[in-house]
Amino acid sequence: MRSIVIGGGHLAYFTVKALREIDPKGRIIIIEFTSEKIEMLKKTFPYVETMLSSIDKVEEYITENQSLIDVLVSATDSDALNLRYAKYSIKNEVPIVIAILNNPLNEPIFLKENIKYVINPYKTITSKIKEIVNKFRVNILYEFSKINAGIYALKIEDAETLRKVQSFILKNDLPFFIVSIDDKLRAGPIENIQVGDIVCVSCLDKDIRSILEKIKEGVG
Amino acid sequence: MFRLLSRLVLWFVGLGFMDVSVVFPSKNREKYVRKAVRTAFKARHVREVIIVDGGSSDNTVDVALKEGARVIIQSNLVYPGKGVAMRDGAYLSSGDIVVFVDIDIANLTPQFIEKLYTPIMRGDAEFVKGCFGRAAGRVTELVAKPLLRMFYPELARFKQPLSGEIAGLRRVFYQVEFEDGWGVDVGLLIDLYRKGVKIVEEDLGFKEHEMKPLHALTDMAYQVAEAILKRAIRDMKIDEVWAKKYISTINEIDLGGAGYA
Repeated sequence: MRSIVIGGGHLAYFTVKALREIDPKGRIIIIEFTSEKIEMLKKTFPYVETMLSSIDKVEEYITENQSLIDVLVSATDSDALNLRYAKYSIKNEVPIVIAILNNPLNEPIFLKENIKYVINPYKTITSKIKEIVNKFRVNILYEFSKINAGIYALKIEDAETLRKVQSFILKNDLPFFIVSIDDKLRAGPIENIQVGDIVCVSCLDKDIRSILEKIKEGVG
Repeated sequence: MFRLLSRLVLWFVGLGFMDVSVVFPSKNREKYVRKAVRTAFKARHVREVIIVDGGSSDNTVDVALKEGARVIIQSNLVYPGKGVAMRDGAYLSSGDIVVFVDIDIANLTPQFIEKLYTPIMRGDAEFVKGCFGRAAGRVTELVAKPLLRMFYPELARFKQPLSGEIAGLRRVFYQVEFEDGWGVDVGLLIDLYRKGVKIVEEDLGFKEHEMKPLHALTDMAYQVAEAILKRAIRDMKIDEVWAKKYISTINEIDLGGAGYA
């Protein structure tokens, strides 16, 4: 696998580590704009190739090497550049184009530009805080990037919600597990779910939206 | 004769083929954004208008999108993040020339924008610093100008070295690093000068603009001083050990105000 990582800062550090883990024999090329960072990168990641480039030359490189690139990750410290390079790579039919956000507020802008794989490193802040403070109705524990599905935590606040969640799980035959009010993990059967529990289910996001609507109706 | 002819050719080429991107850094500027975007689009050769938003809580972004501007949210929501916004704007832009203008100029006209980029189109400059009829601001007079006179006397001729109204060939902005905060304008001026970029100052007339209250200037003054001193150290105009000690001491002084805008 031949991967291109644009940017040699904080985001690139984690990107390179992940790419190396996925394919230890693959080629990883980091494109950076400052020679100081290039020197540092060579020491940190002796197994990567580095390329010093100017900002305007990156697109040229993508065009010239488009057929050789399997994965391109735009991970500079500027969302403007990440947007620009990701859009250009998609236009040039690079098979997998990933943009990493510096500011999560830019996520809708990237998605609107048809960049399918947008990594928001800050996403877990919300779900982690919700999980720790335990004040939520639904919490997104994990969202898959390639399919519209995820792992969701539903809080069973009352008997009505309990009934609806049980029927939702049964009807869709969903895998689930239970976290009790005293933070103990329990498995099924479905009758084990009690008011106060958190039920973690894996399902399509459209299904989670539908059950939420049903729960809301009950509240209303 | 040859020089005159080549300038004439450059002028025609410029007028014919150079596109302009206008960048407005903004935060909670719903009141100004519609007029700013419309005015910018009315200026000749403007290909795109970019709003770099600093995380507005009002409708700045929605209005900008509705008016046909490209929008990006500042990569890093630091305060002050003027330099971050300018850098994002320069990086997102696709025009041959990038113009930066404050969004809250009450008397903004298309001619104001055209005046900024015209010296570049004419081939007289690669970077233009705007200046205004009114007296320069307090930080300019009391901090920037004395320090520039000390360390970069060649730049002391600029009437308003901190002016945020600038234009430049897009490629020149890619040759330098942007300071995050208020030091960005003077930092760009020094760094572009050092790179040998052709710089002119253009009088833009009168600017009707909100003035910052005095307490908001403490931070600004500090960051402007820091940007100049940092470069003076880099360019070996002052002793590094002494200067670093001196700068860190400034940082520790209680300047006596809650003074943040």
